[in-house]
Amino acid sequence: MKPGGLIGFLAGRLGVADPARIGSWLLRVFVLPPRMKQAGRQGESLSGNVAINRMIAVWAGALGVNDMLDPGAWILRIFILPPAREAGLTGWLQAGFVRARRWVSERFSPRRYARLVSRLETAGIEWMDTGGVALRIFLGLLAGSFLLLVITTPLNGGEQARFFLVTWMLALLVRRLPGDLPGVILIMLSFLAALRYGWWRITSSIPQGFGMDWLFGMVLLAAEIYTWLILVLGYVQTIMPLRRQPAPLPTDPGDWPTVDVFIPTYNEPLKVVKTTVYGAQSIDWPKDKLNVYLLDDGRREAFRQFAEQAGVGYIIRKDNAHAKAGNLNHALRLTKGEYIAVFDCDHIPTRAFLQLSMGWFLRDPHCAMAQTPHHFYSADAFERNLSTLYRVPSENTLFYRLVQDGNDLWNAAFFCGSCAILKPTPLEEIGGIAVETVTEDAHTALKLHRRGYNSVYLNIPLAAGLATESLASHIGQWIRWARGMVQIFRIDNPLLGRGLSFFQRLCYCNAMLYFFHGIPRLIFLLAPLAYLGFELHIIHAEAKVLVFYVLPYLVHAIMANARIQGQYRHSFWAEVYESVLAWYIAIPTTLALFKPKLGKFNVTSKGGLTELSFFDWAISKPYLLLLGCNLLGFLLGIGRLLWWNTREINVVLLNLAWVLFNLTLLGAALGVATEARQVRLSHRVAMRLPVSLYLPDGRVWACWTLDYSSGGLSLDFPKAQVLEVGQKVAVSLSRGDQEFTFPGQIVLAQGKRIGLRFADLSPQEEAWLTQCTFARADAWCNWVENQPPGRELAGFWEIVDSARYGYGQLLRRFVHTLRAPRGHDG
Amino acid sequence: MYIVALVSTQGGVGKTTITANLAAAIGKRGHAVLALDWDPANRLGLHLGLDQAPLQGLAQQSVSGGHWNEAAYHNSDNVDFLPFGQLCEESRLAFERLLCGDKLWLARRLEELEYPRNGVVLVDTMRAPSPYLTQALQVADRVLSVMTPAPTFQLDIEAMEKFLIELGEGHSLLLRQNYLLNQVDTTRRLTREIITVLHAQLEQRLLRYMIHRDEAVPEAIACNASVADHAPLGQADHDFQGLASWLLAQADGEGPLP
Repeated sequence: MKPGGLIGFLAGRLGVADPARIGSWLLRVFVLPPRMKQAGRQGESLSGNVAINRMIAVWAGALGVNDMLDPGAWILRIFILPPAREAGLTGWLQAGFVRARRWVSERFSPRRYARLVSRLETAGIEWMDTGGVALRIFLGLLAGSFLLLVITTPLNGGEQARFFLVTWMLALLVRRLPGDLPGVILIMLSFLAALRYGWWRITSSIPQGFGMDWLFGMVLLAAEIYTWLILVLGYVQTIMPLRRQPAPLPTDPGDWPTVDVFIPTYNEPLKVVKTTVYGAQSIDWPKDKLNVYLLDDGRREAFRQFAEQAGVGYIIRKDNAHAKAGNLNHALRLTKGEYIAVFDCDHIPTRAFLQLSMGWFLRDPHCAMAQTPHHFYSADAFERNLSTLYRVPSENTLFYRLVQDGNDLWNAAFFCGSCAILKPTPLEEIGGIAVETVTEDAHTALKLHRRGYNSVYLNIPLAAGLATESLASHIGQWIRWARGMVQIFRIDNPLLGRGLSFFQRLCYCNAMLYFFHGIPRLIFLLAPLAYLGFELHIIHAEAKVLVFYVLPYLVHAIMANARIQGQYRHSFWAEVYESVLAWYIAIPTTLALFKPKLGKFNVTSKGGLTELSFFDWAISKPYLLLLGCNLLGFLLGIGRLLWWNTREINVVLLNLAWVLFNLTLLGAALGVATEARQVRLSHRVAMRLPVSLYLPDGRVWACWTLDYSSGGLSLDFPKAQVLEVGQKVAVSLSRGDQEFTFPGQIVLAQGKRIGLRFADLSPQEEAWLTQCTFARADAWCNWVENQPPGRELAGFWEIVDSARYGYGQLLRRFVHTLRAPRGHDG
Repeated sequence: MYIVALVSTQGGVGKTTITANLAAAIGKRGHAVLALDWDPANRLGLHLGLDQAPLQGLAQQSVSGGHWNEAAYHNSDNVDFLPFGQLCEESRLAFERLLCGDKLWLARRLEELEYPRNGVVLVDTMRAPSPYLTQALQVADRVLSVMTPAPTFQLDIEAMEKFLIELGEGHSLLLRQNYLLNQVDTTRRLTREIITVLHAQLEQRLLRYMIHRDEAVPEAIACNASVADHAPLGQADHDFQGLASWLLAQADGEGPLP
């Protein structure tokens, strides 16, 4: 076929009006599919402005708006209902996308290349090993000079765009391949794009002169440099998580060491502490080698009585000096176990805790600390208020599933205050748990590492606790961490001093620097206002060129992070978490940086109730302020787009996009500030366990639990209308081969769903219940595996969804406040 | 043909009930199953749907030289059933003398049945000591010793082990024998403690599939129905189903005897 014939044929198929004009091709290919012709005509007849109306028609099709003239339909689609799937342009694009993806995945299916990749990896390693030092230096120099070349070569907009296209394609090809190598490639591509962007940013985009442009430009640049640093340090930290396995113990339990379990408490309710004590007592370990101590800084009589009746040690002291650290140190002086295990009073250990985590101490005599993840079985503020539980990994997942495991590769996993084992002799060497800062845990680990001791991180959840119940307490906790980490950074900087390896320094440094994200995030949230509000050009570059440089950096960072941490944190959620905290940790970190001695310890409250859903106005004030600024910026931007700055539309559009992204983040923050109702006294854990239900008439039913808590169970009962509310029953749960029975009462019978509340259980029964539920060895083993892995764009839609919810709530509360009768407090 | 003997040293532990319900559970799955009443008490038929104990049965057929097939039943749960039948005292003694003279008598009779190769035969055996037990142990691929968590459990186990070692001429029988607990009520403290002791003592030989004490079982007998029909999804049904699955897996794994 002649080229002309082919073009003519395509033009006919696509409905290109004038094949000679590139514009009409673009219109057909990217904007208006042939099938949309009809809608386009409608638009034309309504107004003279053809292009705008076509755009409107396309958007209407994409969103699924049936009647373009009805504003209600638009509002419905944009703000309330998700776009109708498979409709119009979206459907057309989706079908093509699905086909293209199928084609790619068939040819590049991970299975086809798994062996090739692993062979390449091993071959590479072998080659490096045999080559010796000279080869390494040669390769290093070669790679270094190439890197320098790639980073510093100036390209104009179009060239840079094509360069990005190539790296992007490469990333798309490797990102679904199995093994560690593709992850490393993605990290390298991201590193390259970041360096290239950074080089360009510093050499070619700083505003000239020393005016306001320059001042704000430098502020923005400083914030950006901070994020590059954190990005790169993050890659170092997580490039290859160690994924350490438990080490076996000696076969004879007589050779196992003695362990003291410390449960420090201050003001938590007895109900919370009880379950933890029962869990600690039922850890599988020789009874004569396991001692549990309750360290009560509250010095409460009820706790003393409980400890006596449960048969655990009870230790108090005269004052509360140095809070938890002091409490632990005091107990350390009084006990003489070979190891101590520390559990916060709401972290219930499972039976397997010691048997799985103790092995490394016996294998490595220089091991001073073993940490396991903090797992939370209740929803945290984000999961609860944005209803993302089981859909989006919780905020701490990234740290405990990936970052600590990555630290472990460099022998830099640090103590997190709970769910850990410590060896007292090295602790004595460093003067006990560190008391100089409010994050005694990390500082203790740092001191141990400085003395040449090793740490172990075992990435298996072997204990579980309650998450902070509200946004306010989440923020409180973060303020403490941020302050403490900055204090350590000031008084015992990991970059300085003796005893640490280079990578240990980097890992600690990243852990501490991370908490400085408050001010940079605030800068990003406000930066577009410099232009939109005051017409300051804080980046001295053409908008188009800026996009071609910044887009590769962002896209590659998102793709690399989705690959290495997607399962633990979905794309864009880090920005949400930072936006929520930015304002609150900005000040404490700055203060702590200059005056590290300032501030006192606050206990994070947990296990509370939120009886009425409410919008936390007090905590949202900064979000509202930032929101107001961004909204104002958006309105000004619209003005600039249409009237004032029509000569630089690209700049306005870029800033508008930035503002929209900021508004999305702030909307999600407002969503978190809407505290959802929480009325349960005890948190429920979803788990299917087989149970037998004994009825008063002698019948026994086999059923499954839907969830359990320390107060009751809900059951999936095989038949409806057998049980009545108020019936007294007994339910048996099993622990290994043993069954234990607990009396209870039916409190809910909805079809096959049965709610059961335990009657007053005896202490012995409470202990058994803990063993059959929270302390089961398999209680938390399918922790993250249940959650779907994140995809780049899915993460974006999740936060858009959260933002939509946040704005909806804000609007509702606002209208509610307006309508409330005057003279009453709404 | 996979032959399972249900045995005990005590009466009233529920062998017959278990045989009937296990047979129903297996039969309902479309699997060939034969319930063999190997006890002169002749009660199994009452648990498998008959209104009264059948007069004719394998004993008469054997004494009179007839074929067993002529005394067989088939019920709506797809269970094949051979009753023992009623014998007068004199005939019974004669029959038992016959058994005492030939240890492999039952084995041969079962072979003559030509039951499907993948079928399961459940032999509801008269309690020990008896010539019936001797015969059943000779032929069984799997022996299930039924017991209740009674305080005398230690005596029951000792007696059972004695028979098994004596009749199996060594420990070979112990390898294909399991203890099955019946009428387990875990709301009782004593029961729970006995189970703990039994687990420690018997280890793998104590089946994890124990049958709970469930009112649905006597109710089902009163209604002349299997537990699976009378109280589906109840705990007892759940236990019988679990036991049936386990047995079928054993039958599958070990295959029929040559």
